[in-house]
Formats: sequence, C-alpha cells, structure tokens
Amino acid sequence: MLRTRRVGRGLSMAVCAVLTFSFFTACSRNKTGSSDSITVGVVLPITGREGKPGQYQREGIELAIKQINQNGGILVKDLDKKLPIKEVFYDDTSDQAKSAAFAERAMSSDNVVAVVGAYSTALGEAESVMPDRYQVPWITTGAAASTIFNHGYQYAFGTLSPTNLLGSTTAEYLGTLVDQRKLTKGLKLALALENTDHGVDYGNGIKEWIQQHPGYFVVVFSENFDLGSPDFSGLLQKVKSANADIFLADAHLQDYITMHRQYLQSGMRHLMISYGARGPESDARKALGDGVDYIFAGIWWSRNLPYPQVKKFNEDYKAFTGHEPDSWYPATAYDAMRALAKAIENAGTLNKTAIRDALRKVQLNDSLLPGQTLKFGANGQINTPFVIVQNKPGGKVDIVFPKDAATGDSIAPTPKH
Amino acid sequence: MSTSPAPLPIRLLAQWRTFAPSWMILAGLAVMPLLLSSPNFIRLLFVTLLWITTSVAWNLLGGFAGQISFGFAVFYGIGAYTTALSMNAGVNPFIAFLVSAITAAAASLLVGLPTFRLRGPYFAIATIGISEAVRVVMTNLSFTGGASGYRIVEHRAFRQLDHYYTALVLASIAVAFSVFISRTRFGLGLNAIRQDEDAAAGLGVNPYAYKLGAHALAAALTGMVGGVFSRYAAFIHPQGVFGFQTSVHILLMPVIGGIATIWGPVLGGVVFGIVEEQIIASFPEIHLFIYGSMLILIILVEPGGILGAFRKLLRRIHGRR
Repeated sequence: MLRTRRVGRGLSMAVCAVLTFSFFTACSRNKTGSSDSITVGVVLPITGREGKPGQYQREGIELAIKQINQNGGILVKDLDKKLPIKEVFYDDTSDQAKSAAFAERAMSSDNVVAVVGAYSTALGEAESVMPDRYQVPWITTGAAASTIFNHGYQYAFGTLSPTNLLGSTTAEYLGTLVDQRKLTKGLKLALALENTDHGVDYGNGIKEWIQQHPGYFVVVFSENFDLGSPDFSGLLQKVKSANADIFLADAHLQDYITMHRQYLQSGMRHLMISYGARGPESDARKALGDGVDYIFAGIWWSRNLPYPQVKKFNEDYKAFTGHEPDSWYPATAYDAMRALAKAIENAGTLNKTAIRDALRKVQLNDSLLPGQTLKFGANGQINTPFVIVQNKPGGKVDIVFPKDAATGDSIAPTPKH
Repeated sequence: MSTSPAPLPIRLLAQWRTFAPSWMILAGLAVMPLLLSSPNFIRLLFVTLLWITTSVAWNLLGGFAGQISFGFAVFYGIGAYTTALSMNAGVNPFIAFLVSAITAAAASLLVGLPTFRLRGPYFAIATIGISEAVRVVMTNLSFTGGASGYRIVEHRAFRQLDHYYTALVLASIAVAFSVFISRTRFGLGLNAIRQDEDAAAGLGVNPYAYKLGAHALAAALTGMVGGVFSRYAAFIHPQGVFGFQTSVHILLMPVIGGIATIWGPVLGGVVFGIVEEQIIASFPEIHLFIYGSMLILIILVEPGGILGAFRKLLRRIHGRR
C-alpha cells in the first residue's frame, strides 16, 4: 500500500514534469511574432501520403519568402518601415486532425498575420473551420473543392480554381479533338472518381459540359473509388467491361500511380486517358516509365506556359531547390505567398481583418497562373483557366490546350504501343 | 484474534493521502487555463485529456481483461458522427455526448457478441476486420457526407474553455472509473480473465459476460470522446475518425505508459497528446525519426512502459538506501 502510494506520488510528479516541459516548449512558440518581422504560418504535409506535393508547395512558398525578403521585405505603412517575412512551418503529416490542429496553433498562438498551405481537399476541409474561428486570413494552395468555399467563410481564400472547371475543361478539350476530327462524335466515356468533394466536382464538370454539348460524348460508366486505396483492380475490371472509348479518372498522385500500373497490367487501352489533375509528375514517370506516355491532365499551372515570369520562376526555383518544378504544385503556393505579401502592403497594417479586406481586392498582374492575373472571387476562390498538358515520349510534356498557350499538338487517339 | 477495521476518520485520511496527488493535478488542470489563457496550450491540454480518456477506456478491456482490440476507432468514430448528426439536428451537445456513449456501447455489443468467442490474436484480427468494414461503410454512406466528411454547425460563438472543461470532466470520470473498477469484484474478474481465462471460468467468473461488460464501458467512454472531439473540430472525416491509425493510436498510449495499470494509460495519453505534437512542431524535418525512436526504445527496453521504468527506478533507489 505504502509502495503504491509512493509510486502514485512519484508518478504525479513525473506527469507534472512532462506537462511543465511541454508547457514551456508550447509557449516558446508564442514568441514568434515580433515587431521586426511579419510572421506567416505555413501548414503543409511533408510526410505521409501527400508528402511529395506538400514538399513542392513548401518550396514554392519559401522561394517567394526568400525573394520578398531579398527585396527588403514588405512595406507596412502603419509602421513606416519594411519588414521581412518570418515563416512558422508545421508538417501536418497528411493527417486531417493534425492539419486543423496546426492551423489552429499557428492562428491562436504564433501571432501570425495569415496561414498559407493545406494541400489536398481533405486536409483543406479540416483546416477551413479555423480561419473564421480565429479571424485570421487563410489561403489554401492545394485544395480546390467548391464545398470549402460555399460555407460563407469570411477569412478563407484559395489559389486553385474550382475542380468542376477542371472537369468541364477536360470535356471541352476532348470536344476540340472531336471538332478537329481526331476523335469521332458520340464516343463513350468511363469515369472513375475519387469519392470526395474533389471527385464529385470533377464528375459534375464533365457531365455539365456533355449536357450543354449534346452528341459529343456519352457517359457509359461512372463509379467512385476510395482515396488512398491500395487496389483498383475491381474498379478497372468494371471499366473494361463497360467497353468505353475514353477513360477519365480523378485521382491523387499515389492513386494515379497505383491505378495506372494496374491499368497497364490489365492490358486495357482507350483512345484517350486522363487522371484529372495528375499526369506529368516525375514520380509517375519514374514508377511507370513510358507507360505514362500520352496521358493528358488538366492542371492549374505548367512550367511550359509562355510567360516571361514563368521562365524566371523556373530558373529561380531550380536554383533554389536543385530541381525543376514538378507539375503545378509549387506555382500556386508561390503565387499565394506573393498575393498575401501584396495584400499586406496594400493594407498598410498588420491588422488581420484589414489584410483579409485587402486580399479580397488584391490583383496579382504578373501571376504565374494561366491568364497571368490572380484575384480572389467573392467566395475567396480564384477562377483562372486550366491548361491541358499531355505526356509525350522521351519524358516531354506539352501544353496542348488552350490553343494560344499550346507548345505542341495533341496526340489523339493514343497510339498503340 | 480478529483485527477490527481502522476508524472511519483514519480510513478517510489514508484515502485522502492516497488520492491527494490526483486531486492536486485535477485542481491544477482546472485552474491552469484561467491563469495562462494561452489558446494553444489549452488546445494541447484539451487534446491530451481526450487521448487520456480513450487510453484509459481501452485499458479497461485491453489492460485489465487482456483483450487486445484494434477496433476502438469504430466507437470513436460512431461517437463523433452521432454527436455531429445530433448537434446538426438541434440536440444540446451534452445530450448528444450521452447519446454517443449509448450508441457506442450498443455498437460494442454488436462487435463483442461474435468476436469474444475468439481468443488472443484471432480476436485482435477480427477487430481489425470489423474496424475496416465500418470505415468502408462510413466512407460510402451518403447521409453522413461519405468520404467528403461532415461539417458540424453550432449556432453559438466558439468558446475554447467550454470544450476544455468538458474534456477535463470526461478524463476525470474515466480515471475515477478505472480506479473504481480495479477495486471491485468486476475488476478482479477481469484481472483473472487476463491471467487465465479458463481458470477464471472455473472460479465462477463468466468471461464472456465480463468481457462484454468491459467492452461496453470502454466503448461508451470512447464514444463520448469522439463526440467531444467532433464538436471542437467542427469537421470530421471517416478516414480520420474511423481510420486504422486512430485504433493504433488508442492502443499505443497504454502500451507507452504501462498496460494494465491505472496511471500508465494516463502517462501514455500525456506523451501522445503533448510530446508528439511538440516534437512535430519543433523538429518538422526529423520528427518521425525522433518519435519513432522514442516509441521503439520504450517498447523494446521497457515492456512495462514508462510506468514500468519508473517503478524499476524507484526500486533501485530504495535498494540503495
């Protein structure tokens, strides 16, 4: 009994010690906000299933911060001086609860003026609750589902155009191939959609375009799949049985690689194939080699866009990270940080509501994104057009749509290997 | 010669001395947020209290009765969704938590009735299977938002302290419950089942009923935690609350702290709730390495968990005297 009591007492002391240690470390982060810098929270996954794209987005943000700081920082009129940006970074480990927790931590205790990040719709949905709760502007660089932006949140912004636009652009691109007689009218589509808001929006975009343009395509198969599923063979068997001409899936990077590997193993072949916003990633080519040739993707940005600022970004990014920009990931994050910096400068203060108001009006005229102008809509989301890229043999990736940005011709239908 | 029990005041004093440190911690936790008013620290404590509750709850079945379940995410998720759906239907949050507890306990019977006919690894595997099946069903259930998740709309301003004190009360109830059970006939029965199920049955313990009972109590507590969490997070997702990872987290905490003890799961909850997040926040590049190494060290070097290590240390200190 005496021993139990001693253990209990000692243990209580140990609990107190751990709590005290954690309290001090927790509070030490509170000192990040200071009068000689502007603190910005960055919450992204750099480990877990979204680790790769999250890392690319982090690089985009950090490049923007480096460049802004090299130019002396952001002029804050209220303080009558230029202040550098200080980043407080958290890895949410691709976990929704942690994503929301770290966004909350940054907003409530790190004295940040804004939080940037949230790669993927799933993580963005979890974080999106926090900005209005703490009245801190939040810019998601990697979540596009419209559901995030239709709750009337006042502090939520996003640098990805809505996913239903991705769906309609994909259908429109296929429609132009019909008009060019590379494909014929009335082709059958098979859709495999991620069972998230992202997938729903993508499917709706395609179906709406088809409804508005009767006769072009018919959807003969549409089924959802689990995000992060280890096996798609059952789904692909159904796709095969549907005897469709075109296969359109909406998948995240890991799912795209797994699904396309199984697609190739099944011996299937369609006239055209797409995995939504995934296609040109170097990881996919490393994993599947020339198996990814001729896949087309609708993406928010391409390094092949013919703008001088894109060319400069490509050079700066390579010098900063040692590798080329992979797909669209770093650009939307880079522009989010630049838009935020401009909004802070326009607001002339570090007041978060004033920065939110400035973000609503900000216009980035040298944006990297298609159309070269970034501005947030009434719901906080941008609405820049998508570009369609197609993988070509030898690791080449061409923009094939829209025509005025094209760097190469569409290869359609997919040639036989 | 029979010895008469000590007089009541002395017994109360002895009890008071035994529980004094616990009361002091509780009082400290009750006052701390008012003195510090750091939202981040309150959030950390809130999350830690929730993890402590799930850890203590799991220990009722996994620790006391020795039934290693990998399926507690089912009850956590059911609790989270029950509260979410109830609150969106206009039910008071505290009533919603109780409904969550009842729903989770009912679900535990559905899970337990077939699986408690299995033993050891077969039981563990069965709980994994059920957990995964429930997650897949929830991912495809349209009225709960499916894989897109479910948003909770509470028509009142967010007050962090309300959530914190709810979690504190819940954790206190869970620990008190654990202490109480360990001193009852029911607790002794669970202990006997852990040591030798057949021998326990021979002594008049009904293992099947005892396990079902412990399972239901643990599920009710876990369901309430799920509910409290969902109210705070305001957005839940089947991949998160029903995820296998959640089951592993719930199981890992008592293992870290010290399985089949009162305070081990509490310590495990503290390590998991605060230390893990602090490591991620302080060392974003190498947090997996640090945290992973820490877990491997604890599990390999000290199977009794942190509490076991602490007891060994005490024994050594006493041995030297």
